[in-house]
Amino acid sequence: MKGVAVQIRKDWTTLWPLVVLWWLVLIAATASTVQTFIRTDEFPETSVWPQLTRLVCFFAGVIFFVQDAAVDGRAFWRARPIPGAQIWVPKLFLLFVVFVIPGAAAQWWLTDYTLGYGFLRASIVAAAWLLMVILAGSFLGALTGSVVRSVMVLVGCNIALALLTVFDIHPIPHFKWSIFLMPVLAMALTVVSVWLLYRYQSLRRAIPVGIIAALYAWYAGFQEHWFHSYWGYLPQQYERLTEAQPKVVQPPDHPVAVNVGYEDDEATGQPVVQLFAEIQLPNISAEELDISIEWTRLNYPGGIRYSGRSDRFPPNRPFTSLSKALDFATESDIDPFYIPLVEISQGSYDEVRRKPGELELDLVVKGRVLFDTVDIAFSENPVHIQGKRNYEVYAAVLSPEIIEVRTETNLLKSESNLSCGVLIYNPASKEILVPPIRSRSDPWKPRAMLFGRPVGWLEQQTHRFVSAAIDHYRYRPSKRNSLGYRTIPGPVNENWLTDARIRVYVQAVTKPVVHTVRLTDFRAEDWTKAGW
Amino acid sequence: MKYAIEATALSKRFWRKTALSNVNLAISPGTIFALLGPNGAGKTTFLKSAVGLLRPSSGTVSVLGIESRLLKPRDFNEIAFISEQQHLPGRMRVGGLLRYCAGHYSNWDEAYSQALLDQFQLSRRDRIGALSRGGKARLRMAIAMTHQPSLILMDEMFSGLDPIVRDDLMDALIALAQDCGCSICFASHEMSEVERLADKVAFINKGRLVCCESTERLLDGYRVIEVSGSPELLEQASRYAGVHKLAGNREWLRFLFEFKSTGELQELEGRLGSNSHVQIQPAGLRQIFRHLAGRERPEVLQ
Repeated sequence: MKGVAVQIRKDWTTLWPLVVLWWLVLIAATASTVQTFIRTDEFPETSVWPQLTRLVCFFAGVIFFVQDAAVDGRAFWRARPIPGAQIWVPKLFLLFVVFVIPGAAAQWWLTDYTLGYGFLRASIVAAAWLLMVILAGSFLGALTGSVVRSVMVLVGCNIALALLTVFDIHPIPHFKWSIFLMPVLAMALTVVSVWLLYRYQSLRRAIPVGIIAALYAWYAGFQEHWFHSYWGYLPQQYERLTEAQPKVVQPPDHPVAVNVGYEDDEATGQPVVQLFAEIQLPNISAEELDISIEWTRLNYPGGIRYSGRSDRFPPNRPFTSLSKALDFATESDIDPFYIPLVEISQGSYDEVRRKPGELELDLVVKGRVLFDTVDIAFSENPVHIQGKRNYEVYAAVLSPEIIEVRTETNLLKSESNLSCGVLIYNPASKEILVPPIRSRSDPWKPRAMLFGRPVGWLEQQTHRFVSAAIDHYRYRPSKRNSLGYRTIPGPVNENWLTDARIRVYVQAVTKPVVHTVRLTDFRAEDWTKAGW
Repeated sequence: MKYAIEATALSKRFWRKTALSNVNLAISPGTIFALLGPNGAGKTTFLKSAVGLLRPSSGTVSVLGIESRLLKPRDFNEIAFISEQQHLPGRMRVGGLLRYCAGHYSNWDEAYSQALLDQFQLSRRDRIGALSRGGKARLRMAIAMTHQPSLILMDEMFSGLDPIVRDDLMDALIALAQDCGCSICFASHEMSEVERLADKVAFINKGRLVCCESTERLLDGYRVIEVSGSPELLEQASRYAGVHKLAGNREWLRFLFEFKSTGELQELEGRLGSNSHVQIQPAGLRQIFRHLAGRERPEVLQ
């Protein structure tokens, strides 16, 4: 214990300036995110803070371990009565306490403040991410014994990643590489470290280092998979779905192409356009729904065809390619009012309900389904509704109790297919109406998030208010969230509904749009289906 | 007998470069041993192999009877390795580093530590990063000596230091060796410190052990001889066995003479005869060093 104590005291003399820097960055990142959230009601889409926080953590690990490198014989502890464990364990402990825990706490607070989650998972995810970043830096520092060499390795890894992306004309064949990239890099470091230790020192020292490094490699791979990261999640899902042949169907009772569009007058004023495709995925369980589109081919009437591919690798924005097609359509002379609507959803509602929370979220973002190529043919007689401030709301998210909502302006229409999220809330009573949600297995899982840039951030951007309400309802039903709202299960009376607002979330091309509608002349009891 | 250091057929290769080749060396306890050799000869590799910082490619090296590969951290309570390349935590103060060491060494002598600080004119409040090169050398030495190890290995500790610091360190080392009887093995280029400190000298060149003698015997085996006489005589003298030319012209010749016994020296004197003027002087380690390194540089003819 004495050795550990003196080691921590020694390390602190080196670490404290980095700790001060880290805390400043953390405070600035959190404040910046909160400020953006307060101003725009959204998380910042692009921000330097997430990258900065990761860089600070990475270099803290490097700098902290460089001075006590494992292989370099110039380290002070070498050739002294100091076991390696007494060097590294206190270091990792110190890094965890002063870097990871404050980072996780900040994330927890941020999540609670902005989303009203107040939930531990976000902070655990943040901690896991920070730990992975710090451990990567620590390993590099311990192995190279030099900040410059560590930076060179980091740059080399990024170049390798860039090359992998640049030469990836069609990403599918290389998906395996990208899945295993981080674990392979970690394993390479493991092998190199063991080899260095064996060659220059002894096998006795190499074995424990090798075991630790291999555990880290496993952790990196596990982390990549577990938290559905950019590199690990989609390809693996693709592996499971390649044999499932997607099939676009046209339900006989309504046209495939439906126009949806309106000018949002409260948020950005950006036209909101969605594409939906009714697609059957035979032999795929509901758990496998959360996948992206890779290629899209739109076949317009008259033989005009547009092929689109997501410009991101791997594509984690399902509608990127489709939105490109839309741009094409609206900028061309085909038909300025012809905006196709394609819905992607899972077939069986019962199947969807197996994991309600997760799947509801997916359905709200139109169910992300990964295809190699999607062929979508449009109706010869598309529905034109130019100028109509009309769109469809399917309220399955909030259960059947509220699927019919009438207003005197006919702004909302009930009994429609699910297309977006809707939330009824009463600003006067500060209550959010959340009907009971039947959950057979897991409750809704908030996605991984790191300083305002969640993994799967699009979903949360779009539905955070709904999700927060649901989450709040599930976990802290009796308390008010950070916005001061309390969730109630209903039913509500007519007076409550008269003061209520409906908040509708519609998937936008690039960002979600929130539309708020005041409910008037709402009849809660003796109401009939809207005639429209 | 348990040697302080014992190398048996020690070899170390880095890729295709052979740093040490079949080195056999034994250093008795209590000896102050100097490793000499030009840059890249393998001195540092030998010392690092001895303390386990490098793994021998073949052969073995033991320190205090323990094979270097099997050295455990606790063994370094009795072994000190000092190198100028060793990192010191620059953000710490001297006192903090000494406390850190005291927490790890089981035989740390706090009173002796303070005495060494006083002797080396170091303050516990000094920030290590702000110390001069000499100051850092003193600090390394103080840490190495405070736990009074049985064996001290030093790699180029005196290079680049001013004479005052060198004298301070050497005095301290000599005192420690006399008081505790510890063994010291050091690699150095500084001939003056080798002559002053070392009981025994080993010369390594291109990874091979060229010679290993006591300092006294090594110096006794060489003489610097200056002869003046006829050109024929000088020409003849330069061809004698053991003669290594240092300088000369048509009228005089200076050379290093290597001999095994005093008889050989007397024989040479007899050969040079009474027709010449012969002046015999003891050889310095620097001249012997140059000769063993194969780098005799003829002096400018005058």
